[in-house]
Amino acid sequence: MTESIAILFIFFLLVLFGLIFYSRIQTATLEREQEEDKTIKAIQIAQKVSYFPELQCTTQAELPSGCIDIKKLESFQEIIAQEQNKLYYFQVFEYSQVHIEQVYPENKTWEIYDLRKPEYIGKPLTFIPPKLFIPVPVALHDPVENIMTFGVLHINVYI
Amino acid sequence: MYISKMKNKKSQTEIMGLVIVVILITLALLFVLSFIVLRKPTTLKKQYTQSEIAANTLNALLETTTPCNKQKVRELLQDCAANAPGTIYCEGLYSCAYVESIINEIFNKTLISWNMEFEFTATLTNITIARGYCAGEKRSQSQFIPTDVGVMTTRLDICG
Repeated sequence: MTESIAILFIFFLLVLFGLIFYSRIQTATLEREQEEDKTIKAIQIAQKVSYFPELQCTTQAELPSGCIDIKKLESFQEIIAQEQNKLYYFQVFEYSQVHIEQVYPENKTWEIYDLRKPEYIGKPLTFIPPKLFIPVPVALHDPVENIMTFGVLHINVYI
Repeated sequence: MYISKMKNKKSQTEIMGLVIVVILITLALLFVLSFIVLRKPTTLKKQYTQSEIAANTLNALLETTTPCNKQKVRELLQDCAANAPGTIYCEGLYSCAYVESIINEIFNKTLISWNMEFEFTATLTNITIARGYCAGEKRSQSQFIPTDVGVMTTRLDICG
């Protein structure tokens, strides 16, 4: 009798271990998949912004990759400042913050887009969950002066 | 009496065996669990950013116009390779030293401030700028620049 109880006890103990093991694996897999989805989304936004025709340089009918036209950038800033245009570009940028920083020869920043999730609007930055930061070095072309400067496209995706 | 003692001893040994089996199974489960739970998070973002940074940094760097008579970094490197230490003289430096200081400044504001390990080399010149030891996995980008003394290979490795 005692032996049977002991065996049953051990059997249920093993089943319990198995269940805990399975649930842990499921949780870990789900978390990893979620993390990967967010990363893919951030990369998609980064790709869309890098090859954004509204900002890309045009040199003799060519579209060199990794090059942003400063004049187009300044015009785009004015366009996107209007609320209805911001809504239109939501399909490209989604919930993210995009700005371009010129690092050489002098420091300069152009804010392009910043849209937080509705639940975080008006809240201090400490309340906003961490962002995925993707820096993309770019050449900034000034077509008037015909010079190229070195810049970085900063894409912060709100997750 | 003797038979009963023998039986007791046998069942004790059986239980011991069972305990050992349970312990072994538990250890195996913990081992597998630790592998799954503590596995490093996805490297997708790292791979993307590293290849993108390697390609874009080198392309943008070589096209950057310097304050030295609007010469591009590419042109200063060409002068440095063909006429070391250089014939172009700006801000008290010849082209080799001048272009190296510019590349250093750009890397300080980008790759170094992002805490990245990298190695930049330009053949036909003595210019090598590195941070960290690039021995393992790396993403590379090369560009070939024609000069009067041959083809210069500029290469940027992002380590990690």
